[in-house]
Amino acid sequence: MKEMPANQLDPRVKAVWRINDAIWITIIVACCALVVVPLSFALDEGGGLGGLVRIVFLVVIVLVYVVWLVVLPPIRFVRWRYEVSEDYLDIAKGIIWRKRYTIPFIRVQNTDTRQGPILRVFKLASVTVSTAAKEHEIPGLDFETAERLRDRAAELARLAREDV
Amino acid sequence: MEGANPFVATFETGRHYKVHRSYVWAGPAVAIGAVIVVGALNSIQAIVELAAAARAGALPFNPLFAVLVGLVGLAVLFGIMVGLYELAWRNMSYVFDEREFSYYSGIITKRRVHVPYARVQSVNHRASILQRIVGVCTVTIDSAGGSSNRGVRVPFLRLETSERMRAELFMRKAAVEAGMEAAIVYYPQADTGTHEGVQAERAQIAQRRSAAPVAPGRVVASAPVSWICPQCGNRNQGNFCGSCGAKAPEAMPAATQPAPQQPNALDQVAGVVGDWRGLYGGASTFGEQSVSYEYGLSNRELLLTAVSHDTPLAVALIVGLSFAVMLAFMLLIQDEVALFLSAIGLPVVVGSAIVTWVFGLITVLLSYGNFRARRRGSRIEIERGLLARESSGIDIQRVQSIEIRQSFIRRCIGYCEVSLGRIDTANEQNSSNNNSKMNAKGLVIHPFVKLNKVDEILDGLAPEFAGRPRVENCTPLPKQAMRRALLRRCIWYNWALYVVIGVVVCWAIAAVAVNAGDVTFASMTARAQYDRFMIVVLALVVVICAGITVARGFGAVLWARHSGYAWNQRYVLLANDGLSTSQSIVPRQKIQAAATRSNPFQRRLSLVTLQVVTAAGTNSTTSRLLDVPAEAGAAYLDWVKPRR
Repeated sequence: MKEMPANQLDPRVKAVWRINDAIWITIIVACCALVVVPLSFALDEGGGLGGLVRIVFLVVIVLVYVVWLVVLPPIRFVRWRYEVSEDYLDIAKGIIWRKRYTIPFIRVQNTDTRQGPILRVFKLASVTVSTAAKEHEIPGLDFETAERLRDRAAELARLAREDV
Repeated sequence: MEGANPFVATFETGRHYKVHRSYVWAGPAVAIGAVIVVGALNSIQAIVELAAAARAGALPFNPLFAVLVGLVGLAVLFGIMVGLYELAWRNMSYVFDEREFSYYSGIITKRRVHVPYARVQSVNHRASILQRIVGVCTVTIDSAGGSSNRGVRVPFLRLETSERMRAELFMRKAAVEAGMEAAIVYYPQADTGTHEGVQAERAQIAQRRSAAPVAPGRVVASAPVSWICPQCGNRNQGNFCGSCGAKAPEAMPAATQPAPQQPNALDQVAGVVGDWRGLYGGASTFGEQSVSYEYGLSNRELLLTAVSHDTPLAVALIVGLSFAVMLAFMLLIQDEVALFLSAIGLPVVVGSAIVTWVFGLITVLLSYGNFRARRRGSRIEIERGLLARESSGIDIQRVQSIEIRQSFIRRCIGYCEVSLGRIDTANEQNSSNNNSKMNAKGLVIHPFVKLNKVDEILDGLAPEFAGRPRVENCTPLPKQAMRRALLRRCIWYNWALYVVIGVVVCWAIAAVAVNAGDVTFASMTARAQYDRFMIVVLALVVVICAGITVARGFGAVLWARHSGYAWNQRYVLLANDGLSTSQSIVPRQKIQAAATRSNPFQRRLSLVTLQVVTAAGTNSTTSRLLDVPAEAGAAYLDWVKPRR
């Protein structure tokens, strides 16, 4: 296997991922609870399986929180690497399905920095590089790095042809 | 030719142009036709009941009166729609601005779409049957891809206008690219040849056309012959009159076109904008150049295209199967009719499947009828359709990939379909247009060609791609790919296996319920009947799914043996074999991103999946090849990196 790209994201991005995932998981759990909890009480009247259902549900919730908030972020952080070379962008990411991208800058049409509310709290920004085909996002860089990366990518991308 | 300005506009900059008047009545006419058909279908039952009532002499009202009411209702509806379309027509216009083309529409919500000339990718037109009769067409302007990917559809333009529009757009694009917008000169009605300079240019074009080197074989060089329209006195060059749309006298095309050919709309794109190639070497994009290569489909090829086409067969199978399932259920439920049904059941199933298939065949025949593919200058132009006609073209520079595909039937007889990947624009005005199905496969440049003839037609149509790697040069996949392919296709991704599992589980649950006495039968014979039915169904499902699994295994072996990858200086080729095959050839210039991907099983064997991302299609297209050695994957990523 090739050696990995040189740069890592800002370590604070782990906290951003945690908050982000916590919000989503809470929403999904709430939706599931709306279905599962009344169902378990209905089962209580039938045969008494309701208690078991509730325990399993609780265990699953705890497991999901632990996996997404404790286990995954550090691994994801270690696996997420990028490198901006003279004329291409190199990205490696993914834990189970590992992906490696090479994006020549002469194909890049736009580069933007984006800052959601959570990213802003941590003084981070994400850089989006879009080609005629797809967008590639580098999430969670500290603000100066992001700006520098964006300017650099924009400068390199100026050679890109609009016409595809 | 001194003083000849290459940038001759036939549309005035900044002026609002209207679409053709027929928009006001033709659109409603189609809608009313649909209303009549749907209404008739929906009221069949009511009509039958009324007929019965009439026979009994107990009609609730006078039938003539009912018909009258219906006609008046339709007329009122038509009137309202014409009014609406009239309003829409008044609010609809297009403008050629300095740097962009704008299309205005909308009665209440005003909409305007701007397409900068620099981003114009291709200008295509298609005409429905009604539009062909009227002599108008709908023009689609596709713009370059990316996040700001937008397209414009201008409906109901006269054929002549649409061709001038195409010429105009590419002329203005060239002007913008050369930084010479200021040099654009507007000649009103330049297309009718009133201006001397234009006429001189035309003469030159005609000369060039007749002197153009003609490749041997089936090439048709069509020199323009001018004629005067008997109806309006307009001087024309094409097969239709430029101002009133009348057809040219028959003698004209016969002299120059030996092949039996329908009047060709593109032929009348007279080179009004003329000679800007001289100033802008070789970058010319449209119709004034001579055709250097052309082919059509023979009747046999057309018929075989339809017969070997997947869609009619698949639809017929689905219809046949659903009829069979319906019959099976009826057999199960009703004992008295069972005998009758089993007598006519088989013919009904087979008959419905055959009828559906024939309808599918006719659809394919109509859509590929009168197929022409030609190379004109730097453009590849495709025209097709017997009733509704579609004309689309692509500049050779805009070709994102070449796709060579074989369906199962075509693979058996050694034929394939060749298409070009191109950027398509998701249309915001009317997303459900008929184009979408065709666009999913790119621009089909030959629907049915023998594998060993592919090189010939590609060399004629796109000689720029001569340096592409061939399947013979492909590096085959490593040995581990075979085992993984078999596991993947026969077990993990084998839906037939999951169907069997599901059916067995259902059967087991039912058996448990029956044995526990939750289900009671009327008699012992009913019980025996039920058991027999279940066993037959189970056996049938298992046999069919086993057959599918064997076929998938066979496909997996073919895939692992014959798939491969190759790249050279300029192109990458990913070949996926199997029961159906596909080859993608992508120029290095058109690779938007390259990627490798691996899952834990692949990593254990140090394999990766190659991905080529291009901008073809409405968003993007990714071609894949699984189970390539990791070193090859790394080499591929290195290859994509820009060289200096």
